[in-house]
Amino acid sequence: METSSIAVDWILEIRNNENAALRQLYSLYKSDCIAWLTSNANVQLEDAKEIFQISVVILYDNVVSGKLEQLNSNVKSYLIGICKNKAYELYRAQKKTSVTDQFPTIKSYIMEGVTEKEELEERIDAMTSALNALGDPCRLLLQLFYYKKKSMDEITGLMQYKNASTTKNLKYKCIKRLQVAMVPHKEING
Amino acid sequence: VNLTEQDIELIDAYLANELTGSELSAFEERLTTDLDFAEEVDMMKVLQVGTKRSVLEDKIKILQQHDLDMSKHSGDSDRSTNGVSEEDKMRMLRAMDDVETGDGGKIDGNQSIIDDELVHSPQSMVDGLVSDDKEGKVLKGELNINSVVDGRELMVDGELVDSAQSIVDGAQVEEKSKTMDHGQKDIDKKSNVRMLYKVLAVAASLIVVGVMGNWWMNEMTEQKTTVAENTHLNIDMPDSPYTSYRSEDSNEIISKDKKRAYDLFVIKEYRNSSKLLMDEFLLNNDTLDLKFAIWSHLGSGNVMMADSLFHQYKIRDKYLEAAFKKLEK
Repeated sequence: METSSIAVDWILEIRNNENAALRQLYSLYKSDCIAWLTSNANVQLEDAKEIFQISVVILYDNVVSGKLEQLNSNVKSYLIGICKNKAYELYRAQKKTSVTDQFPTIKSYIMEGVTEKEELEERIDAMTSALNALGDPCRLLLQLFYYKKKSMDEITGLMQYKNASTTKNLKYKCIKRLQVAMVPHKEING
Repeated sequence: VNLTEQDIELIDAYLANELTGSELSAFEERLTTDLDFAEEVDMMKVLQVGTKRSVLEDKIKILQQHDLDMSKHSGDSDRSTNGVSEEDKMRMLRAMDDVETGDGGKIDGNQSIIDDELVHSPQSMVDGLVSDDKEGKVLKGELNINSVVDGRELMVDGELVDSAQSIVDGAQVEEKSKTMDHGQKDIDKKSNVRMLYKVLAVAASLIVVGVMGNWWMNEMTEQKTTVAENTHLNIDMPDSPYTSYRSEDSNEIISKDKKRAYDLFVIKEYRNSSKLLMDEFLLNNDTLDLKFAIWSHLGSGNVMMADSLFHQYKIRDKYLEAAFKKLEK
């Protein structure tokens, strides 16, 4: 059983050395979490692996976003908690799919109420694709600014640009490029 | 909408709940009157979610790769030092390569930026698409993230970016910045080590081939000697004083054919040796070659030829004379 001080170390590890920490978490708790999912939640092995991967990433996201600043339980319990929720969501999604496959009209009826969500998902899909197509340094710069909430000065140091003004100018140009890349999507969904 | 740099700063501030008072009122007024601008604000919200998604997809890829590595190397995880992973180092180095860090931060030819291109959209904002900002959330509602490997859809937390909870990890940035040079050095070092391994591998291969070749040559020579010895085992060969090379008795440089003849004589391949020694003798009119030739004929059992040469050239050699006397008896 881990003590809370050790659990807090995981948060520091993720903040200071994120990819290495994620790999280490994955190696340490993969077998336990997958065993829990397959035996307690009746999840297939391949699904269990995927759920565990997404659970580790959610833990990371919670740390980066500041939602998780201290673990009250040990990290294994926390991960299993996320796995449990994801397994339930997967179960619901599979159940929903099986119903809508049989009755497509019901599916369209159900989806009427969630048009906004669908459109939003489509726009996010398009934006993510455009961002990936943009490549580095734009992608990295925007990730650092919008996701990791780094300041212009921090990004300037991190990416070794001349000064914050250069970085700001580059960010502006990157956003303009994204605007252009998103035009076809706007026209299709006009 | 031709968004200016200031517009984008303003939108960023609005989405981060940093606008207050008259600035906020003016912004909200513009949102309701300028639908194109509202649409761009909406795009910026989507961009924030898009960046989050792209980061999380990167992490999924890293874990999937790690899972493959674990399968291959049974839990071998490469833990980088200095707080920056190898992937991040490579990514940052690539990013640095792609950018001229001079004024304006221009991007190279492959990624040229359209500076002043207008992106005008005639479409109005979709009703209800812009989320409520009262609670300080950038966007609300559930979000699905597609797993990048097999396209299966997995649900991810409904919580999206919370602007109020932005964290700036200065220490991490500083540390990462410091490790940029280390990253380049590590990469150079690794490529040098790889080159060294290649050279060592080639050298080791050459040594193995050399040793094997030498062994094979020895085997063949040994086999040949054994065959020659067996062939002439039953010949009653008189003791010959000419069992060493002529070169050992003098400083003469021996021709290739003569050396081969003497080699054959030593390993008792008398029949082949005699032919070569006869040629050498006829070519150089050398008495010593003649004596070797006579001994070779005797060794191969051709006594008549040996006797013929011995008498024809009136050889005066006490060893040969003793051998012929022994044969006569």
